[in-house]
This record gives sequence, C-alpha cells and structure tokens, in this order.
Amino acid sequence: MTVTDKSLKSINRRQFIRLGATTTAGLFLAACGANPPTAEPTPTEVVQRPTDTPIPPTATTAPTDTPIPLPAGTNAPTAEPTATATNTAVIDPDQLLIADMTLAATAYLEALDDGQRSISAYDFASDERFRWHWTTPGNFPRNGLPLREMTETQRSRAFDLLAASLSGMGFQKSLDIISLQNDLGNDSELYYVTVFGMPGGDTPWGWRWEGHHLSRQFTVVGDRLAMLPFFLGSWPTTTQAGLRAMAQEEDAALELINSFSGDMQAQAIFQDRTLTQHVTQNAAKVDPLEPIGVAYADMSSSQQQLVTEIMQAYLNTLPDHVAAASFERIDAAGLEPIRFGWAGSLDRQRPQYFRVQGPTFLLEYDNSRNGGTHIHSVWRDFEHDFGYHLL
Amino acid sequence: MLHRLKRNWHYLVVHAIGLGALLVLGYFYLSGSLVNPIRYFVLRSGTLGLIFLVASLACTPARRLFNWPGAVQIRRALGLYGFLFVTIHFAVYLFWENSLYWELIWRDLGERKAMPIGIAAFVLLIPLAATSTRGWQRRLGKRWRTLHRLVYLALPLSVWHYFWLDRDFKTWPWIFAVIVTLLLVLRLPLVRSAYKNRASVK
Ligand code: HEM
Repeated sequence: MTVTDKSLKSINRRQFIRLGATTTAGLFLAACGANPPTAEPTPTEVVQRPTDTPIPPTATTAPTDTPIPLPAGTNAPTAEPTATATNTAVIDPDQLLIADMTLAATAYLEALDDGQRSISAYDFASDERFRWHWTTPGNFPRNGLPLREMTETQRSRAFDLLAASLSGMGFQKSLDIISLQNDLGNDSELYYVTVFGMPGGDTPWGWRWEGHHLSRQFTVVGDRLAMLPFFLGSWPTTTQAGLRAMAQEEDAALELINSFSGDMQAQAIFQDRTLTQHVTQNAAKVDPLEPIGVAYADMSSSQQQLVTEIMQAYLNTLPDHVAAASFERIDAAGLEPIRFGWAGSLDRQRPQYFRVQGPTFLLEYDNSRNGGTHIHSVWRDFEHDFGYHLL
Repeated sequence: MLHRLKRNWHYLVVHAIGLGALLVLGYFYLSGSLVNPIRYFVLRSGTLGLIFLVASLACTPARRLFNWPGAVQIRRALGLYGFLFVTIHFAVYLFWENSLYWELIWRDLGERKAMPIGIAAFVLLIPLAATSTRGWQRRLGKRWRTLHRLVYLALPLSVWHYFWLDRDFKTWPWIFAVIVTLLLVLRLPLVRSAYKNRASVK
C-alpha cells in the first residue's frame, strides 16, 4: 500500500479490525469481568473451568428437528477464557485459554478407562494428527473415541473440552452441525475425540473433534496455540424446521456477489459453473491458490464489510481473543490483496462456490452438492495450520 | 356398474394409490411450501419407486400363497408406477439437482458409490418398461419372460443402492432387503413347489 492511499484505506482497515476483532474481544473482556469493553485485554489471573450452566442442545437462532443427545451437566460455552480478575498481573490470554483447555483435556482423559484412552490418545508426533476429513465416518473411518462409545460423564467432559476450545458461537455452531445429522439419518454420536500428546506437559499437545461436516484441530506448543485448520459443513443448509447452521456466511456471500456491478461481478466470477468440490480437499498443508476474483481494495466499504462478515462467520467460532488475534494477523499481512472469487449460480439454493484468499489464509466454500443445499467449507492458514509455525 | 367395480377393485386401488402419490408430489411442487424441494422429491420418488417395484415382485407369490389371481393382473400397473417414480427420481437428480452439469454428476458418481448402483438398477428396468405392453409380450414370446427376469437383478440392486446411501442408520434398507430376499427365495423352484403343494392341499 502506498503512503498516499494509506489514510483512505486505513478507514477500511479500522472498520475491519473493529468489526472483526473488537466485537469478540469485547465479549472476552466482559467474561473476564473487565469494564468497559475496550480492545486492550484486561489482566486476569485465576483460571476457572466453565460454569455449570447447561447448554441448550440446539440452536438458539432457530429450532432443530431433533435435539442432539447432549449429556446432562455439560458446561456452558461461556465467552472464553473463563477467568476471573483478581489482581492486576498481566497474563497472556493465550495462557488462560491453554490452562482452560488443559484442564478440560485432562479431565476428559481421566474419565476414560485404559482401553478407551489407548483409542482416544495418540502421540503428538503421530501422522494421525494430519489425517483429517469431513465426510461421514462410514466413508472415511476415524481414529479416536466416538461419543457413542462414551459414558454420560465422558461425553460431558468431551463437550466441555469443545466448549473450552471454542467461542460460544463456535460451540453453538458445532452443536447445530451435529444436530443436522438427525435430518440425514446419521448418528449424531459419531463424532470422534482424539488427543495428541499429553495435555499440560512440557511437550506439545493437541486435540481434534471430528465427524461429519465438523473438523476442529487444536495445537498447543508451550504457551502458544493454533486452532487451524477447521472444516464446517451443512446439509441441508436449511432444515424444514428452519435451522440454518451456516446462515451468516451464505447470506453475506450471496449479498456480496449480487452487490457487484456488471464489470466487477464479471471480475469476481472466475467460472460460470460451480467448482465441483473445494480445491484443497484434506491436504495437510496448503499453499495459496491462484488469486481470483475482486480485490478487497477495489470494493466499496459496505462490500468490504460483507467480506468481514463472511470471515467473522468462521473466525468468530474461535475463542474471542484468538479470533481478534487472527483478524489482526490478517490485517497486518494486508487487507488490500484479499480477493473474493465466485463460481456458479448467484441464486440461493443453487450450486455455487466461492473463495476468499488473503496473503496468509484461504477460505474455500463449496455449495455445489445437492442443488446448492449442501455446504463444505474450510478455513486454512498457509503457516499456522496444525501449528506448523510453532514447531 | 357395481359388479364391474367389485371385479376391478384391485386396479382401482393401485391407480388410486399411484395417482394419489403423483398428486401429492404435484401439489408440493406447485405449492412451493417445501424448504428443500429437491431433497423432498428425490427421497419421496425413490421410496415410492422402490415400494411399487417391490409390490410388483410380490404379485406372483401372492397369487400362489393367497390363491388370488387378481394379484397378477395388477403386476404390470405396479411395475410401471414403480418405473415412473424412479424415472422422476433420476430426472430430479439429473435435471434439477445437478442441472445436467456432467462434471458435477461425475464427481458425485465417484463420491457416492450408491449412485452408480442406482443407475445400474434403473438401466435394467428400461427394457422391462419398454416391453411391458401386450404387443411386445406377444412379439417376444418366450423371450419376454426371460427378459423380464431382469427384475430379479434390478430389485436387489435398488436395495443395494438404498443400503449404500451415506447413512448410519439402515433400518429401512434392512427391511427392504429382507422383503426382497424373501420374495426372491419364494421363487426358487424348491420353495415354490413346497408352497404350491400346500396351497393345493388346502
Ligand atoms: C431402480 C432405481 C432406483 C431406486 C429403486 C431408488 C431408490 C431410492 C431410495 C429408496 C432412496 C432413499 C429414499 C429415502 O431415504 O427416503 C433413494 C435415494 C436416492 N437416490 Fe435412488 N433409486 C434408484 C435409482 C437412482 C438413480 C439412477 C439415481 C441417480 C444417480 C439415484 C439417486 C438417488 C439419490 C441422490 C438419493 C438421495 C440420497 C441421499 O439423500 O442420501 N437413485 N433412492
């Protein structure tokens, strides 16, 4: 970016950061008992496990057809990390989050018997960590312990671990995606928990939650963490009962592509027909794809806001300060080169694909299956996936 | 009139169910009240197709078991309704769900192994539907029966298609598998003669 257009662009940049980061950071601070919600993290020290408020098993936004069998006593997805401010010592929010996750992971592992632990636990160095997928376990058998084979307590601890590792919104979205399995005649208990390495030790550790249309990877190295890549999918996109597990990204993207004028739209559409699947599939590492579509720099501020909204739908599933840090990283690498490219129909419930790519990240969203009612989407980071940058 | 109605009630029942089902599908198509119309039509037409095809396979054993000649008279109508519904099923898949976009269809056939099996079942049914008239029956003579034995392959393939759909719960595919197996076993010469004898003793 040149100096002359810096002031102009900085408005957008400020908007981007404000929209993408401070909304979530505010939540984080509120949860910390900090007042007022500013962008600066408030120092906190004492780490607590999530509170005992029960989680509604289905979406709060819309009713699901059949509730997923969430075990009783699963803790609430409070805004992370669930810490209380007791003095003014500065503690890195990552450390708080890691402490929370470590407690939850340890509690989960402790609840397993030896046989189950040998199924659920892997060496951190194992290649299993990179063997990930989004399809049904019937198509791609998973390693790890499925919810189906857990007791109530174990299941509750598994959900606690998920709640501790995601934002409230991310946890709810996960529950919604899981509950969609009931619509498909699938087993909503076929989600597998796999822990890599020893939580809380000196060596790196991580864990994965995975099943149909939901794959979340978490890597902890010392006091740093990575929560990428992740896959979110939804079939159907809307249930007869009205649940839309991935409404924000679908709506914002359709609004964005339809907001472009003729020339710009032609530039955004790199292919008239949809791609048939997302390009990067389940690769362990991805490099930037060919830059396609309209650059962020060329969009109006309302269009830029829609790009931010799409990104928020993904990044805000991460704990709030992690989401804020992710937006900052994206901003630091430059917003101008971020591109939004489209292939396929511009109508709702028709096959379509879009891609948002920046210098550090790639979002692929493929809704080409089942007449555009079946979303596969993946958020990748060229360096931070699986914590490569930390190892 | 009443006499004719009494004699042909089984035709009436078959057509009432077949046309009734078509009417329901038509109503939902026109009403626009469905959130996922494609999925609704694919699933309903597939299920209806399978039910009618299985019912047509049940006609011959039913005639023997219940000593009811009427069963064979509705066999063709049942089979043709079955074919009509699976044609709708395939058409919705090709034209509506995938907009005849071959790359998409090709990817799907590779990804969901149930799909090629469904196509195989459908292809086997085409000559049966095409030669279902009395004219073709006469023209083909003995070969007509041989040709129509293809249904013994098409139905297990249909159930296999159902079975292989990406679903964890397979109760209904199992139920259809048991019914179709039973209907095929009843056709084995040994079994057939056993229940034929029982029927004649009665
Ligand atoms: C004799 C031929 C066929 C029969 C009897 C048949 C029957 C069925 C049945 C019973 C279902 C499940 C319905 C439900 O769960 O309610 C089904 C689903 C389906 N069939 Fe077929 N089918 C046939 C051929 C085909 C063909 C040729 C295709 C296209 C390649 C096809 C594509 C599908 C699809 C896409 C589904 C829905 C899958 C899902 O939602 O998981 N079928 N079919």
